[in-house]
Amino acid sequence: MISADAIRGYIDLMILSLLRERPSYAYELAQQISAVTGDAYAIKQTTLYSAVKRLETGGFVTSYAGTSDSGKPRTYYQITASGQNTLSTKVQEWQDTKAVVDRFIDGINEGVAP
Amino acid sequence: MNVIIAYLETMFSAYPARPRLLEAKAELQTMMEDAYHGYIAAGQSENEAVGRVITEFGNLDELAPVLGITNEIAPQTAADAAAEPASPVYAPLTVAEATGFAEAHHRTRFKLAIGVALFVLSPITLLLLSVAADNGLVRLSSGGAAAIGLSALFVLIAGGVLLMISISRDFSRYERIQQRRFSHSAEVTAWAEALTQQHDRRRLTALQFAIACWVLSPVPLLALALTNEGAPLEDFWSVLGVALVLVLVATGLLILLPHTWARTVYETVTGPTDRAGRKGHRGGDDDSSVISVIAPIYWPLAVVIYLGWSFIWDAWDISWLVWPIAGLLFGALAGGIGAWEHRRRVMRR
Repeated sequence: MISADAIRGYIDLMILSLLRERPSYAYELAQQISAVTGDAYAIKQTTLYSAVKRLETGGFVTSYAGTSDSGKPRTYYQITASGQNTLSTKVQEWQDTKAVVDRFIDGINEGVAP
Repeated sequence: MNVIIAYLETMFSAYPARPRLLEAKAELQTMMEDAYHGYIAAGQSENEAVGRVITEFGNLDELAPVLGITNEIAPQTAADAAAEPASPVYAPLTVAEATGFAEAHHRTRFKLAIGVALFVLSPITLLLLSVAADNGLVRLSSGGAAAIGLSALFVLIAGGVLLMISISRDFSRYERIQQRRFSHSAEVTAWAEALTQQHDRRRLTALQFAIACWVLSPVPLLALALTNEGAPLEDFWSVLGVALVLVLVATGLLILLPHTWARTVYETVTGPTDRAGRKGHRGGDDDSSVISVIAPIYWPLAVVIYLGWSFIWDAWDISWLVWPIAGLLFGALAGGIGAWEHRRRVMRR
C-alpha cells in the first residue's frame, strides 16, 4: 500500500493522463484510478477533488456541466493545451526522478525474490 | 444514503456557507452518491457501502488551500486536539471497523430480541400447567405438570442462551470495540451520529409501543383476578393473568430491541473509552454499551436468581416475579441509559 504522502506529487500527473484520453467527471476519475492502482493505492475523494480544483485554478483543465452515461448531471473536466504541456513536462520529470532514485536503491533488493 | 448526506453536513457544518464551499460540498456529495450506488450495485449491504464511502472520503483539511479556508479549518483541529487530551493508547477506530460492528448489531437484532423474549416467556408453561393440573383441567399429576413445565422452561432458556452465544460469535471480530480499546476518530463519530439520527425516529416509535405494552401488562392480570374473585377457578385465572403479563412484557421487548442497534452502536463508538493503564478496570464511565455488554451477563444471572430462589426456598409460586421485573428493568436500561448517556456527554462538552 502506497502512502498518501509518497504519491501526493503525482496525483496531478495521474489525472492529466486520464483526461488526455477524454473529458471525465470526478467519480469516473476515481474509478479509473482505482482500476489502475488496484490495492496498491486508494485515492480519497477529498484528495481527488482538491487536485482537480487545483488543476482548474492553474488553467490545466477546464470544467463544464455535462450529463453522465446514466443521464445524471455531472461536472466534467477537460484537459487544456497548457495541461497537455504540463503533462509532458511532468512525465519527463517523473522519468528523471525515477531514474535518479533508482540509482540510489540499485542493488538494495538484490537477493530478495522479486 | 441519508447517513452519507448527514455525514457530509456534519463535516461542513463548521464552515460558513460560501459559494465555493457549497460547490465543493455538492460535488463531493455527487461523488459519494455515485460511489454508494456503485457499491450497492456490486452487491454490498447498505451499511458496508456507507462505510466504504465514508472511509474513502478523506479529510477536509486537504481542501483548505483550494477553497481558501485554511484559517477556518485550523480552529477545528485545535478543538479536536482539546477534546482528546490523553495521548491515544489504542489505535483510532476506523470507519471500516465501526461499520462492521454496526452490521453485526443489525444482523443480530432479531436474535437478541427473540433470545430475551424466550427468557421472559420461559416460565409460562410451568405456571399454566401447574395450576391447570392442580385444578384438574388437565389429566396430569402435580409432579408430572411440574416436570413438563420445567422441561419447557429449560428448553426455552437453552434456546435463549444459544441465541446469545450465537450473537457473541458475530461480535468476536469486534472485541476491541466492545471492550472500548480504541480512541475516537472524528469521521467515525460523524458517521455514528448520522446513523443514529437516521434510525432514531423508528427507535422512539418502537419505544413508545414497548412502553405501552409494559404499562398495560398488569391489566389482564388485574381484570382476570377481579372478575373471577371467588369463582371456581380463581387461581387458574390469576395465573393465566400472570402469563399474559409475561407475554406483554416479551412483546414490548420484541418490539423495542430490534430497533435499538443503531443507538447502541452510536453509544459504543462515541462513548467513553478505556484509557491508559486502565486495562481490565471498568470504572463508572464504562457502563454505557447497555445491550451488547449487559445482555450476555444479565439474563443468565436472572436465570440463576430465578432457579436459586425457586429451588432453595421452594418458591415456584412467587419466583416468576423475577421475569417481569427483569424484563422491565432491561427495557428501562436499554431505553433510559441511552438518553442519560447522551445528556451527560452533551453536558460534558
